[in-house]
Amino acid sequence: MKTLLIQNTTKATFFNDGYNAVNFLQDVDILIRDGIIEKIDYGIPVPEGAEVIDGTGKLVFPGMTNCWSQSLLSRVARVIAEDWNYSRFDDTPLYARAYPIVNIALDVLSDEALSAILELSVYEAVRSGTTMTLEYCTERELPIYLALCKKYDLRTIAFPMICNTGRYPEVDAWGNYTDCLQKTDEAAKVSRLKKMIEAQQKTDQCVGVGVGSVETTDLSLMKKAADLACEMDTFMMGQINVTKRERTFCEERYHTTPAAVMINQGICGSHAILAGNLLSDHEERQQIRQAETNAVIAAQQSLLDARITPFIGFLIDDVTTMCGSGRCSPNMMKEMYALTLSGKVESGLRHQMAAHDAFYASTVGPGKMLGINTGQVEEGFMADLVIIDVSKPQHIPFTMPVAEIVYAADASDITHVIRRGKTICKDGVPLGAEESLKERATKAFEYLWDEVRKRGAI
Amino acid sequence: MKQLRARTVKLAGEDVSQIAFGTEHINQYLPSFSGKILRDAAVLHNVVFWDTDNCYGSQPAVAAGLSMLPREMIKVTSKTYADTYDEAYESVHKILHDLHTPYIDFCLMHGVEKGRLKYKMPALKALREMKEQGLIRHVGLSTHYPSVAHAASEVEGIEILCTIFNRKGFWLDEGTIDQMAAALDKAHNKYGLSTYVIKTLARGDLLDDIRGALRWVMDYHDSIDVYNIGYAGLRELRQDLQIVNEYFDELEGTLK
Repeated sequence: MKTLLIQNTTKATFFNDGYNAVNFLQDVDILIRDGIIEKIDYGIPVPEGAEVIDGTGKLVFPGMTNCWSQSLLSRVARVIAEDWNYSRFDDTPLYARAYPIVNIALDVLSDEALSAILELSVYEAVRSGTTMTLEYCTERELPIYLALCKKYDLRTIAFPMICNTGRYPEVDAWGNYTDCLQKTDEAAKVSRLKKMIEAQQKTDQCVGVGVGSVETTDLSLMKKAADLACEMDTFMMGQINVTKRERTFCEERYHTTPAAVMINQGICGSHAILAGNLLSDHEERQQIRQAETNAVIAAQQSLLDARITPFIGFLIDDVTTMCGSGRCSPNMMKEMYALTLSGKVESGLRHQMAAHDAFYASTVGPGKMLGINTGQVEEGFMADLVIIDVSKPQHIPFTMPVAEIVYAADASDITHVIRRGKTICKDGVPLGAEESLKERATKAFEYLWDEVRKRGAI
Repeated sequence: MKQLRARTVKLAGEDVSQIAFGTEHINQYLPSFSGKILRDAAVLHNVVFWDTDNCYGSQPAVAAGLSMLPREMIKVTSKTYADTYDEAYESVHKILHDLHTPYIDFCLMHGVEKGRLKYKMPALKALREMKEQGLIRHVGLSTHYPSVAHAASEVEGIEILCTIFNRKGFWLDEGTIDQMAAALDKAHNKYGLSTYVIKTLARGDLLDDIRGALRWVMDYHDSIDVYNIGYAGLRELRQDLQIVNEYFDELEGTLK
């Protein structure tokens, strides 16, 4: 691998556990060799053959990790009408609008068409400074998504969800729910997933264990999935407390909450990541903490559902909590911004969920949660970096770098995204992208919308 | 208008300002900006004692501030978590590198926990050697534990004791504020150590009555040399400095 030197730049990073301290250095050089940050110092001589990036007027910060992306859903959910009254469907457009479209997409699209749509999401993620995703997807999407991440050089752990039907739950036009708990060959599903995990082990595009939510997945299948995660020494991601329907279902069937079911059955532990959590209450958060399970919340998604996600509640309850985009744009710059707004409204205190809290949850936090040395601009860490141009007029005065990143910067300020020492996006264009993407994606969506209209989902 | 300037007091024989600028909260700024805050604190208000540590993220700010003033004008504390001899050397050299300075005035063994003091002896040996070499001017210890503070006085080579001290006892570990007061008294008045106290406003938890909180701490002035208060800017510093000066003006008036 080649050597890269970023000269005369400003770096912003979290670097310490206990104090959550941010650290800035100005006019420093960052030397990267074999994908690792080898040295950060002043006046580092240019090594022979090294690529040099002039960092003057630029800010370097860690590449961001999206701890819960749903690439396909994020594209189709854009069409959800804001004026729709969803109260009939438990205040969420998921069952009524988004899931039916996703199910149709999975049914009718060719691999090529599905790939074009998913590629839009990967493109957007890379362009906005994401260097790693935890992608929650279906089995159908998995090989396509992994190939795209490889093409764009994006690190991922993809979690193909196993559930009883393999489909997302829906409501019909009168608000009646799909029964998703029909019998299934659980052993076969788990065995197939195991092969997927084995095939990608020790790569930068690896596979974890995904499980559906409680209304789509029997506990026996969840248990098998959890056992598989332990056996394969990988993470398990489940979706929890995203909808009221899920809670109602759980109450009716198990007489308790989704978190209690999953934890009491031994499904969750330190290997588990529970994403969503829009409706996770204090008692459930304590159960999640006691099980040493990790949580992910999605601020953009909750704000669009006219709700406030309990991120600060999670922090107060001492749960390891990160952020992800869920069904919304995989643009982590937007997610950080939404996170701060959401946290302030949640607490009613303007100093809560400060910019650096969102920065933590998008950079160093995920690295620590996953045990990967990413998320910090420090010697010995992987060179997963974002460089933004802060010399533009919109960034004057430039005195508080983290606040600037979270509140003022956007993806158009990014000049470079570097993943493991390699530039994967330059001047706003992911280097893995081809000219034909726009045309392919437009064609795929035209076909999908035709089918969606014909089948009455819109 | 009377200039608002901190009193000069002695800490381990060095002239320092009576209040120390706790720098952790200026880590949100670029060093070129936060360095100017520190410079102005020194030039305008005689706050020439700056407290930092690598884990606060503020060392670049202190380095920037130092570069703007004659080095001898400023007294700096930094800290090390080192246990071993080698770790201490490595840590101090990193501090010197990061602060761009040939020496630091005070180096504290940082946040020593209960039962850990005896394991710090190799690091202390190294720190004392580095004092001989001129890399450190004085050696000290900081702790949140009254029991450690109590024991520190009797350890040869420790010249400065730095402890948490606020009227609610917030951030203390395993002990009471009375026990910490006794430990400071022992160190200062029985063993002749210099002392300074931190988290006097409990990291902002006592802001509803700053005057009362600071005056409570200053009532222990017989055992305390320096009051370290964390600031995000000069506005806060001026407000607190006014309270501290007012207290000691009154005290001196009473004594006269």
